[in-house]
Amino acid sequence: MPDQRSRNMDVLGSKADTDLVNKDLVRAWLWWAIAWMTVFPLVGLLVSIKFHSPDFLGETSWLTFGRLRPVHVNGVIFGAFSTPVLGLLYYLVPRLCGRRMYQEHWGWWLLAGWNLFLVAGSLSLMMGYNSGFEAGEYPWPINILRWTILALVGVQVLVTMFKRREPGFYVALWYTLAALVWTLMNLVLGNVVLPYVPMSGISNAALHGLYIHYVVGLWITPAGLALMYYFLPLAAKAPLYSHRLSLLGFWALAFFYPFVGTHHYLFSPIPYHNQTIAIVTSMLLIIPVWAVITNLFGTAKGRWGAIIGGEDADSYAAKFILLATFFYLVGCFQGSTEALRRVQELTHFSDFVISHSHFTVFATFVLAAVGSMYYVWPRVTGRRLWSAKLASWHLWLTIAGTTLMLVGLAAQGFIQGSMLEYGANFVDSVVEMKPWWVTRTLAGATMDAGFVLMAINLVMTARDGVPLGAAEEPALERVSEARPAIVGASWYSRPSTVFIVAGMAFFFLAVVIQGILPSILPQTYDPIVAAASTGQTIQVADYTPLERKGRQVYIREGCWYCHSQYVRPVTGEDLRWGPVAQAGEYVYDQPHLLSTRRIGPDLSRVGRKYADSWHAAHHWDPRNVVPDSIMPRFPWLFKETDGKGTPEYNEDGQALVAYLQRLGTSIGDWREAFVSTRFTAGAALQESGMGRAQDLLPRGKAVYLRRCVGCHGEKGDGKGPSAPFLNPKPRDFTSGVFKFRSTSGGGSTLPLDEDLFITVSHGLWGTPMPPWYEISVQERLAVIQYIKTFSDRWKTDQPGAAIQIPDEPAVTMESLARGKQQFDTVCATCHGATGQGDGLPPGTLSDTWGNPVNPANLTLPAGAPGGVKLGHDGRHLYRTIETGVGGTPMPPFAGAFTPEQTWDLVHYVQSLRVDAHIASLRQAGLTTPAQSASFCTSSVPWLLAACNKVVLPVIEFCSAGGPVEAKASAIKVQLSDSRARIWASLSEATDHQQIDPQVLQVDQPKIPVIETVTTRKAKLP
Amino acid sequence: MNEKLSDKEAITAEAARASAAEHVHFVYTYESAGITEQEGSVPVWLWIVVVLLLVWGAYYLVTYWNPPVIA
Repeated sequence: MPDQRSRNMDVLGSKADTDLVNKDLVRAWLWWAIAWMTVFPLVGLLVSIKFHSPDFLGETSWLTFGRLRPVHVNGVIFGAFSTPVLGLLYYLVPRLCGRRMYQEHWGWWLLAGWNLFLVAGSLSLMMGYNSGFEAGEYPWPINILRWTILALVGVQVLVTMFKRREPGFYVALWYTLAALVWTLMNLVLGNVVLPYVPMSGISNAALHGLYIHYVVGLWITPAGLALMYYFLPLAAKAPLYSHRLSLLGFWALAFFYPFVGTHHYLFSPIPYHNQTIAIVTSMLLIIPVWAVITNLFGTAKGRWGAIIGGEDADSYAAKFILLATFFYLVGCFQGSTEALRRVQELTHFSDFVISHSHFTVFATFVLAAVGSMYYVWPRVTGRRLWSAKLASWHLWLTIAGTTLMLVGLAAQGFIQGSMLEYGANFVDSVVEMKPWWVTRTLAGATMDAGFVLMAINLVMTARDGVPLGAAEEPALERVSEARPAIVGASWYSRPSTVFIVAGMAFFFLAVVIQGILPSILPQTYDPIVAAASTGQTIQVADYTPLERKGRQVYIREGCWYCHSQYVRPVTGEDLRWGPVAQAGEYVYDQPHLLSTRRIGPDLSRVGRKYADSWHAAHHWDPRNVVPDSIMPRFPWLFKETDGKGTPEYNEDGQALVAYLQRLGTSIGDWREAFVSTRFTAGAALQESGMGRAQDLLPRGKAVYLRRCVGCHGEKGDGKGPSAPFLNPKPRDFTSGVFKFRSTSGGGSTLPLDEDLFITVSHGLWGTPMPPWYEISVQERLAVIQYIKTFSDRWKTDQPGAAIQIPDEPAVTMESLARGKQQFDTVCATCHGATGQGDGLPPGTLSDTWGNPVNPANLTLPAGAPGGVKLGHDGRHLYRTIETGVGGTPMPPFAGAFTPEQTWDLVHYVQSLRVDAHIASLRQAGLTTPAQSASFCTSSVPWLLAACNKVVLPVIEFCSAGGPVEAKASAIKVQLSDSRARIWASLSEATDHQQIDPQVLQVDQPKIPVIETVTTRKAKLP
Repeated sequence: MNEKLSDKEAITAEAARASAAEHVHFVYTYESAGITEQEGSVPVWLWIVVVLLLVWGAYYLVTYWNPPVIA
């Protein structure tokens, strides 16, 4: 075995270090790196344009935002960044190991394979083959190709390292080795475990959070730092500042980073303590980041003048790497603090996150790769840099574009987050972003222009650059100082330690604590939730085949890049979208679709908010419905119409809308008692001073043109651009006839502003009219004044007086019996004997406008088509019975019943819904909560005892920080009974404790039959 | 310790300081790569940051292990 000195001689003697590197191979990799560094950021520019010009490239399914976004993100990670990294490994690994790369010729095949992976992967995503995992979207054949290539590169690197002739093991090699080991394991996690090992949605999210951050933190970061540690000392022509800082930085990163990924899903149903661990380790990442920054800036100490004033390739290499180092400092501090709960409340889902990802991925590590290429390119082409001026332009365009983009995006995040926290309408927050998005496009174009200049410069260098003189080339490669004879690597900087401890042990420790332990908590895999209306546990049903197909369409079209699917218990999201997310809702969600971004609103509670026909109009052209929308069109979800008739959904479209209507319904009928629609200012509206209503018209018109015109039309005639799709048709305001009024005087009386306010705020369930509680009270009042300008009736007629609603009497069995008797006598003809709206054959009735209408099915849940439009609230039902539904066959019954009789009828109608609600909950498994089975079950006594004494305490400790709703539901179960809670959501009598205990029997109460007919027949309409 | 160092101890301490300084400025060269690396040190201010962050991390972990109780 040759001794060390002789080995050194071998390195420095006949085999000059320049011979260690296959320059042709490195050059080939870097040619492709130049190409991908130009192409994939340009895709990002196209994506950016779509934010402010949503019709741009919008007519082709391959080029929508949902298809191009993953091409850009994956392309930057694996094309623009990873291609130069892999190419540069063929340069730095042999030089740091003192021997040529193991099986160097593989590099040619691997380059071809890598390019095939990038091209085929990008095309697959554009074609809609999307796995549904952010940063893991490629389909499986592409994943196998990528993994195989990286594994073979890993073999080359590891064998070269373990057989190295250089006794020292430089920090760049620690990072290189760890990056490859981590990434090969992470790709198994992301491409095999996440999609194919059965697990609940919350387990999926917990592991996916780790996966996403491992791509960034355990591939991009260490691979990028390897380049920075290697090329900065060379480019700056200075020794690395501190080996000890290298140790601190590497080991702190290796220990803390694997835990942080859960911070992507703070405030989700992932166990609370796992979120806390992620927050703490995210903050502790400040340690390795500041260690690295100190080390790299320390390396440049005393060399700043030479670097800044330098005009050669090495100077530009150093400039770019130092710029990257600065961005690393800022971006990582941003990332650490972003993980803090209060910061995340405000900034998560917004462009602040995009600022952070661009800070770290592009501004730090892609720029580090750029700097490294400036250093290597002259050496592998044998020519001096063609133009220092172009390099300077590249640098300054990068500084200007990057700074503008990153600061702008961060500011956007705060602005949008603040708007939403203070209750702004979501679309308004999107509109507010548009000028900023234009700025981002300009900034991105600036950055991309810099890349094009780099590409030109490097191409021209290879083609027309001044050849390096014979004397120059060795000078560039010269070794600066002889190394002491006997210096070996300490145990913590040996390849085996890095491989086993940093690469594997820490990784598995984090995956177990942050990914696997949460998965064994029953809360994450039991398909049970607390019903929103009762608090009792009910079962969650699996998706139907149609809903499951719709879910695939949702994934394919990339809806999840813009729409999250979890409501957080912060910033008033439960008032905006509905009840806070529960773990059990996601049991069948693999891949989970929690998402990390809200360019559009959260969709986890969208089911039954809009009618199917509204979704059809919206998917056909979102701007027909919401003029300010930036959502793409999806005409390929519709059948071919040849321009005739209204387009109809094809199978994909039907499946998608079935999936959307399912979202948020697993927790039972929560919309009936949703505070944002039930508790409006309508009842307290002051009519005095409304003589100044004219002053509101300009504002009202502006509101109308932004919110209402898509359906009701510019002329208010109900013929907006989306109207052909809608069913029922939008209200024609020019007729001056309104359905829901509190005014007496017949079915055609004008409503009060208060009535219109309630309709606008609440929306009309089962129809395309959505609730507008998300816009300000002033806007709602203003648009009401504007609506009144469409019909002259508002000038000639006066609204009738509001009917008086007496206090609600007690709900008793007798009251129900009387109500049933009246219902059977008067209402059953149309609404059917059981209140299901089936008293008359369909198509028998029509409204004033000639549209077919059916009597309401009084048993249906909120938002179901055919049910009641404004809910089963007692006052609303009383009012509707008294005043009828304007423009429809439902007549006013004022005078036909005494107030007591009307209340009896209201109570009976409410009981129909309560019974139906209880039946649906029973169908969903509503039961008295049973003691859950013990986790430990074994017939072997000692095994059972060991489980109870050792495993159970661990489970209980972990469960302590489990999903919040699990505990909340347990409390609710003890306090209430479901029937009472449902009654309480409908009836004021319940508030006053005026409800007969018999009515609240768990089993359906049997309403007694009475014979007396009390209705004033003469006054029946 | 407030006692004055003996001459011998002083010499030893001085030697240790000199050794430490020499160690900090010790330079290792990776010859085939052309990179030199100082042994260097970790600045005191960074150690303070490390300690403060670890203390804060322990506090936060204990305090926020469980979710806040919702009334």
